[in-house]
Amino acid sequence: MTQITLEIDGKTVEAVEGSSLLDVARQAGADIPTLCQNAQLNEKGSCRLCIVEVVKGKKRSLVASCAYPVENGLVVKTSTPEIEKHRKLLVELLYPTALHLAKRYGVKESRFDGPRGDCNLCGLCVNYCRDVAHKNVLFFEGRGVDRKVSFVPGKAHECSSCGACFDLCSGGFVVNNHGMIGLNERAYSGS
Amino acid sequence: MNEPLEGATLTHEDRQFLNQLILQYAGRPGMLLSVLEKIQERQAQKYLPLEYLEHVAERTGIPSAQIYSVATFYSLFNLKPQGRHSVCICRGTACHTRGSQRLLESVRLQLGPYQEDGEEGSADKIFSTTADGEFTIRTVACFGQCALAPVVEVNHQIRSHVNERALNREIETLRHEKH
Repeated sequence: MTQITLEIDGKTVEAVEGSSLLDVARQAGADIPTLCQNAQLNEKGSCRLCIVEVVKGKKRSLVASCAYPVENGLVVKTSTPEIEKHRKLLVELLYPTALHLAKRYGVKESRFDGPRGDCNLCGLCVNYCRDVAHKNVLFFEGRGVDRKVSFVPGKAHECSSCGACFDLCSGGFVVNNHGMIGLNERAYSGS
Repeated sequence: MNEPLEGATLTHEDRQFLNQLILQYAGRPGMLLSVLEKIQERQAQKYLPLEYLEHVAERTGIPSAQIYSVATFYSLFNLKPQGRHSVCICRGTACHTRGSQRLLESVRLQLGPYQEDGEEGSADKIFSTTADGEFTIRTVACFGQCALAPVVEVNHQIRSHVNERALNREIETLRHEKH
């Protein structure tokens, strides 16, 4: 548990070596948006909203702070015009999910076509159901552009009595669809 | 819409086969993939019946959610019964420039009608089985045999420099083949 020092937004900050830059920065007062990470889950780093600028020696880079372990001597900026531009684009890509972020970034429409209006594939519901609620009802079906969240056939009713992930969902998919049969209905009705 | 899972129940032999399979691969990395491969191979219609997957879940302790996730991730695995014959048309760049889209359209016309699912897909991604269960037509993004374009795989045999008429003829022959 080595104590180290780093600079965040001009302030000198002390932290435990290896802890999450996101956590350390937030503790130091930075306001960093996130979507895909949750304190109870291991998965993170997919939404990229938490990117910050890190200067290490001579190298400057943009990193996902939720997945970046702090080291001694880092110089970090959690918000710059460049970073905000990236975050705004990310929010536009997520639109119309994550409307709370759309509001914050002034995003009212999207140039892009998303596969679903109510799911951005962040995986919070799937990961929570598997690793925290231990119900294993939700899962990711397919891959690539066909990837979607599904419910195990026959288990979808469990969601009504659980509902633990409803608040995690930034698109409304789980609330809209729990109780529905998943996994390519045709597959099992075609027995 | 919460009907319980309906399907054929497993026979005693089916169960024995599955249990032996699970024992055979127990503890090995990639165990689930090997088990799924063997299950699909054994099925005449080359697919993974859901009741088999449920049994594997029960026996191994792997949640069905995980098994479904794996089964739907890989193109190798089918969750629906496949046709007796398979026709796979390559839609890669080389094959496309040498007319594979037309081959695809021609075969689709020749073999319709299809099962109700109507996996209409696009000009690049088709996956349908004929209503009589005889043929499954699918596409692949690239066989890696670009010098032989256009490429079509008929019943796991690669056909190269395919022309439409020859393909139609071969399919007609298969169609009229006795079982």
